[in-house]
Amino acid sequence: MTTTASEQPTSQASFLVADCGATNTTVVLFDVVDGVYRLIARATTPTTVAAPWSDVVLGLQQAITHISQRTGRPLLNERGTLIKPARRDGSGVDHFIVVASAAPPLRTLLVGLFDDVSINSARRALTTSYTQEIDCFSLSDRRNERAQVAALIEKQPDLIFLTGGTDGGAEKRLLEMAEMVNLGLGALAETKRPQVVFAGNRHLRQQVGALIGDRAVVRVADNVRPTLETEQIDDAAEVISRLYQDVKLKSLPGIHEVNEWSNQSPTPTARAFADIVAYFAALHQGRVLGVDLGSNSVTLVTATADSVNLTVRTDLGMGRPVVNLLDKVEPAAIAHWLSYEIGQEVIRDFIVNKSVHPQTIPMTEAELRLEHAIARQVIRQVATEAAADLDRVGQNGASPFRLLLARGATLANAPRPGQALLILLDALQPVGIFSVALDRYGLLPALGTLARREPLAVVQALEAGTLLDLGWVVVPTGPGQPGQEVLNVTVNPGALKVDVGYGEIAVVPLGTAQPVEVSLQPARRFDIGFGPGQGKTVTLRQGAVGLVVDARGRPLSLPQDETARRNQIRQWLWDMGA
Amino acid sequence: MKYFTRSTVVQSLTRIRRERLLPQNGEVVVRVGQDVAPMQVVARTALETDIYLLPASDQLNVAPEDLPQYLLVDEGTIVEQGMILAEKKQFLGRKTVTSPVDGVVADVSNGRIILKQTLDWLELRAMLKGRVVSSIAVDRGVVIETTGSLIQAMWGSGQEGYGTIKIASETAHDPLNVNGLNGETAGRILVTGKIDRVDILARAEEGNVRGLIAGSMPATICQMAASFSFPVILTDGIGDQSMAQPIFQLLQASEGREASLFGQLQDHSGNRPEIIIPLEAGPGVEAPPLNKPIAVGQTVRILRPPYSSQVGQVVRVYRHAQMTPIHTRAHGVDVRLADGHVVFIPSANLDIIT
Repeated sequence: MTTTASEQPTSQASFLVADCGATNTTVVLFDVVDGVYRLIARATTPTTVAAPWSDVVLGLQQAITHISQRTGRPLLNERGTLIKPARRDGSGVDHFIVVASAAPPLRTLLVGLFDDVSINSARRALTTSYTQEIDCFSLSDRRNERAQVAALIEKQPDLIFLTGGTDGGAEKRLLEMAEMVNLGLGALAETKRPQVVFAGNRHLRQQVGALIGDRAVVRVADNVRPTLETEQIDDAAEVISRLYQDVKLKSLPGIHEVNEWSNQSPTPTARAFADIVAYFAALHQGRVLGVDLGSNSVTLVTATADSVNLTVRTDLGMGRPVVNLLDKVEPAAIAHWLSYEIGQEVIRDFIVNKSVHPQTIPMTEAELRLEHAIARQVIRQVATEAAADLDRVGQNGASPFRLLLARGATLANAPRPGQALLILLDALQPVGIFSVALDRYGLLPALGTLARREPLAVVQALEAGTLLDLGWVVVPTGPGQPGQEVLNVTVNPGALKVDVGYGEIAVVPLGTAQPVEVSLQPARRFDIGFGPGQGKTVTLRQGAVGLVVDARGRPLSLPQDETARRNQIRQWLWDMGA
Repeated sequence: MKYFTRSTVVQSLTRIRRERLLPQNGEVVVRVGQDVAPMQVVARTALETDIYLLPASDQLNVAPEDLPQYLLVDEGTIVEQGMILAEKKQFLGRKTVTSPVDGVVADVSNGRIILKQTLDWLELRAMLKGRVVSSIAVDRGVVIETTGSLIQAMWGSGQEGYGTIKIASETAHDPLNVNGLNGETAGRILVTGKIDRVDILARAEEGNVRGLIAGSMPATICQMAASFSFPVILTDGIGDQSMAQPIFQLLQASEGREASLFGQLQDHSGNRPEIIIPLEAGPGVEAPPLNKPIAVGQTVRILRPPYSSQVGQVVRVYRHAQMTPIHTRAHGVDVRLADGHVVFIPSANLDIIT
């Protein structure tokens, strides 16, 4: 991407963008330098929403002060308030935008009819935002109405997501469910009544509103399952996202002061991340996968030029929720990814400690490896379940993508780029030919918020190297035996030839930062995305790692023998320079 | 450069204010200015653990929308078993709806009366010797103030407890020996460097121990700790870590004193488990300083290997990020350890001991 003079920004406005995560707050200053938007400075400090600070502003002020100290540009006045708009003396900034994921998830009670129909679709709508399902009432629920009302009262959800019935379909059972919700709401103190989202049979909107409307705020969204065959979650997803903004983000301690600095409410980080992934998908006219391995959540986005799928998992992450991983897999599954011997108890203790101290970072090689192994397992868990979900609704969850965008402190702070790339390849086990970029400065959600209003700023910020280009990856698939030749790689015709065997992962140096022609010729039974045995010459760039050929097979299989498995893991790390 | 770092309060004498909150609205039974003892009830609320949905309009044979005119109770009315809730007089006699249980009328909806049955009362105890300084929203709870020692911990099993402190291991590094549980430990809160055996908790329960304070305990034992009647509080972490020396020393100095254990798990708002040891003090004792940015001279505890649980003093604060032993860059400080060695520690891995 290049910028011509005619594409220079017209507004000349400066932007300060803050990302308030559960553990860290990152603030970035963008401004126009020599007619082009540049990332001027960035600072990261601990997020201060929890005790003893209990004020999100403190962390923001600290990060903004760091930026001022580095740039010599005053951004806060003597009272600690943001100077806005920018002044002629160079102080201040024109726009302040906040993305946030620091608030706890919306505790949601899901109410619907059939598990395989509306409940499934509702769950997919809920996973597009920071939500936590605390209970589900459906027709398969064996509890009677009385027990359900008691459960509603006891659990005190933030949100009741009421769905069910195709448009024009079942009415009686859904209205009975709505009546049960109404009973529960009535028995709750007024101050504890949750919000209700109704995304069921559209013909019942008025009746549900009349039934529940006196007791709670009822927001209406399109039916998530208008027919048995169609799923339609976008509108409900939008409503839930706004609800998270209104109910959770606006309740962050100190956020009212932040709102005074900004012209708009904080955007949920996952939404902003989805926006930037969609932006790249439109730019590349191809499928783009985004992975955000956060402290309190994991976000997965798949986008094409005309569709976006978003999965936000608040039950997993590298911070407090990492302890939930122990409910999903045995520690042995994590040890599987390690090249050294480790006791299952040690892994359990490490995970619970990490959950108690989510802000801490590894200081020994062994702890770094263990944290990376946990990252693999967390991403794998989310990706596998999200892919199965996409398969269920007729989309191929494992279909190839053109670009992989990854973010999160564990990946961005990996000492060597090969480590971050190998974590992603092990966890996602993708296929085809794709490039990988790492959000090393934690900017992508910030750019997502700018993508709509200042697209040029985004283009120019990206050109300025805000992403770390890890390089290209080729993954041949097909049945093979260890050592069997899988792919022949020829760089800049005649300059370098490499044969990659089955079971290997190889880094092919392209030798220059400039794009080079690379000829890829798979063996007869192997496919790199163009059919078995079909090769292609492509133009690729070196990236931080080089061209990676991952010929380890899919799904990845590891030796049963412990010593052989550890040697294999060690070999792959070595091959990747990790 | 100012850099906020996580801190842990370990103070031998400080002013402490703690909220005691009911899970729902109820009744505060103490007044502002009143001195309270640890086991004294300060507030109470009905625990409604069951719901009754009475089809009242069906029983009276009236339309659901007509039910209100036959009701003898309002929302919030406390009712007893057999009490008449609704009545319809007829030419010959009357039809009534009676309460099947003791409870509260929670709602009337669509021809039904919803009763919340009061199965039990939750009595909220002070758990702290001190003075009530304010009430919270009239009916939610109180704020109790005291002076004494305060230790914030890392992990708690969820329960609360109160008792006299007894040191049960010789050093901050030693595990609790099952043979150490005897008649002398009954009714006490035991302090130990570590807990490393699962049977310790069962033996402690049998021996009427009121609580356990340890530096660390393996995750598998943590999972079980919530099922015991007494609180377990870990001051340093999960696994096999010693108790930080300043904490062990303060608890040693407090042996024989009464302590309150609050074992709540750390939550989104940052509340942590803590140990409060009330101690009479004159005026002028201040609350512990919070929000202190990291600075030279501060005592800090290290949270990750290879120096886990070691306590040292900050000797240098770096202005810019430094290279760590695993070749990442991080903001941090130089810490002089007890053995005199000076090591670089990322701020993220530090806990300021205040």
